[in-house]
Amino acid sequence: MTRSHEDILTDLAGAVVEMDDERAGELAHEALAAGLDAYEAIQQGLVAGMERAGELFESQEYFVPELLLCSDAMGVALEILEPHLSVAATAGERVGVVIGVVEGDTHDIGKNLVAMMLSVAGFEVHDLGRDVPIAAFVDRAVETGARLICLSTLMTTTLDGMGDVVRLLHERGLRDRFRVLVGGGPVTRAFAGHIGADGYGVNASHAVEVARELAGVPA
Amino acid sequence: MQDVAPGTLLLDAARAAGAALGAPCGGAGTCGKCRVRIVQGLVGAPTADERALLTEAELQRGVRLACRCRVLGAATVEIEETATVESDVLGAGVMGDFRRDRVPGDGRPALGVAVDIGTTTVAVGLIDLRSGAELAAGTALNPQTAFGHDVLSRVRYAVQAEHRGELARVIRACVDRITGEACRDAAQRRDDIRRYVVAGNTAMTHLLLDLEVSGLGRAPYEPTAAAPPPRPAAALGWAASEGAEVFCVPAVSAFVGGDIVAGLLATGLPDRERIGLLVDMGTNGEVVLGSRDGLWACSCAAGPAFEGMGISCGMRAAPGAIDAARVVDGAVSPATIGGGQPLGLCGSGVIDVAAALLEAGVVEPSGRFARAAEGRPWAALLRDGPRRYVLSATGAREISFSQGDVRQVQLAKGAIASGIAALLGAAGIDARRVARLLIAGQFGHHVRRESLVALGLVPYELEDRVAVVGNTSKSGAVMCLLSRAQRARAATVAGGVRHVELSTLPRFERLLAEKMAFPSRGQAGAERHPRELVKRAPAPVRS
Repeated sequence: MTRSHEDILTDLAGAVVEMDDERAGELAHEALAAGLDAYEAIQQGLVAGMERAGELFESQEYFVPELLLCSDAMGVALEILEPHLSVAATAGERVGVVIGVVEGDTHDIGKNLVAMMLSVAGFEVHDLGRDVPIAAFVDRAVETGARLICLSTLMTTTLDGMGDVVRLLHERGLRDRFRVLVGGGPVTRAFAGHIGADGYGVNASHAVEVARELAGVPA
Repeated sequence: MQDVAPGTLLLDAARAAGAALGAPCGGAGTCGKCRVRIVQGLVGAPTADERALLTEAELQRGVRLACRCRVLGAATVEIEETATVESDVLGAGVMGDFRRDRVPGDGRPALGVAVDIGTTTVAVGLIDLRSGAELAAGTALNPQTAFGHDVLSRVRYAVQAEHRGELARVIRACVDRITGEACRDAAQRRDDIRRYVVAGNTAMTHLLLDLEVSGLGRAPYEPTAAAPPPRPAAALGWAASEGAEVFCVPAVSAFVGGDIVAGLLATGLPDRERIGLLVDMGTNGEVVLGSRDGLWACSCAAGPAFEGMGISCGMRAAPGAIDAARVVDGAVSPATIGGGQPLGLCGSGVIDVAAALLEAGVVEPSGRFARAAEGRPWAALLRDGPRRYVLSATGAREISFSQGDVRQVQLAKGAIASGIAALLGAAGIDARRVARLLIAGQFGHHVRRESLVALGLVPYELEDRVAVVGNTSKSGAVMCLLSRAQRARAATVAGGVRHVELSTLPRFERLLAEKMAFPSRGQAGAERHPRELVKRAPAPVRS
């Protein structure tokens, strides 16, 4: 007897939250066999699970290792489901985001977490990596038509690069075209205001919330 | 008495007056630790940041945050003096074998000063160069803390042109002052001082010498001078005999400094046939691995949890600080410095409490507080809003350890544990071949190695080979003071250490995440993590 689609989706989300990649893989196969649409399985199953993981991270019940393990479980299921996505399902505009660690800083764990959460949340993520030259943020945003520029740093000494990005946008007459979101260890709300950023993310899950607000995307 | 313009922030006024007022977050209004009390006078109304961090009762008493409160007219402001437990906290460091230089008799005492400039604490020793004996010692809070708790905040401050020289001035004055006090204590004369040796991390040394520091704060993290030449003491404003020089122990890299090189001399790691690990658990968390066959080092950016900073009820070591804890009748029982009412937790207390919470089952190996408390001896002590374990509820303030505090400990211990693992990997050395693990830094002899093992900071394979070696930065500096050969050895050792930059190591993120988890109890000696993070390949994420 095949189980209901709802049960399978609930379990799929659960496998992600419980960091059980074996189970996630099994359920992905079960979903396809039961005739579930791959896109629906991803959205209502996997993404729902990651969002729950994000909530647990917000309350500190989950921490960095758990998020990585959840995303691993999600990844196993995705590998199975993605080939079955219909072209129509994937069409449609996703909001573009350019993200990176500012010039002079090589610490990217925080940025990687945010990029992962933004991707799960449905953004089109252009990850420039670390020690990214100031102009590269602006250039890539223009090139890709992204709507958000997300800047990260772990070091107090490289903070000013964030102000430089905002300044460069002004210089090129592009300030109104992009929303700038900043975050990282030494970054504060006051600093974000001071440099004229549009938003500040306290942690990875908060960053997604703020990104949605800035992009005008419903939660 | 300090004259400032109306509208000046109290923190700036304190700095101008040279008053030691800690500002761990560098004045960002986020840590709440720059508390002062307005005794009387005209100041601005409490700001939103202050209302978020101070209780109503505190505001009524006139307590304000110096980084947010502006003085408007004549005012008297009281800075809370926290007496630091001086010589106890900085346990005397071990010293390696070496031969003292002979100092010819000239009818006068021959003195030297060993200076350990830590990010948080400065320590000096007045040494008789002929006997090697320490005649007097002194410590002080590094006055640069007013410009930022951590190295990078100070580097940021120093690179601004208008602040050039300020940090140098302030640290030189501090060293000069405590050197003078040590001389008075020992009834000795400044002009009998033949030499100064300074051991500090790279940023501290650069700031002392007023060298350009911008390279320290940006990839590829390069010092202006890892091995600066000696300077005349007079150039730093330090009274001494004519021609006396200041020798700075050379650094390995931007984040592994002369203090660590001094520690290597003191512990003898570079001379041994057998492999050792030196872990300095100070503000920056440096690790060195090796033997006479090779040395590797890294800086772990552990963060300030092990100093009691970034912890909800954290404080510096002082009377009233919880500095130890055990599991008694299934619950966590804390002990304080001085035995009185707990006022907060200092670094060794944070470590002991975290280990005890783990042992008692209050905290799971993942770091999460237990979900089911019914029937457990500590059920009534685990509260919500925010989730925390109450350590003491007598007295005015509840002292507790929160879920967030556990996460801070995980970050700090994960950083050091992954640094150790990364060095073992880079050197191709199996943990079991390490003959000894030495804990250096400002814990002195207060940190319990059982707790470090329980938390997984020390690999379980090395559980029976841990020794606490005290302030080896200072003892290594003394060795350099007493021996020209040791000064030369310092340069050779520094030049031979391979620096491993953790942030750019492939898969470092995974290693760090794996090391954040606490070991599971029970399995004798074996460390089990809930899941393995490093062996698996990262799964592709939808983009």
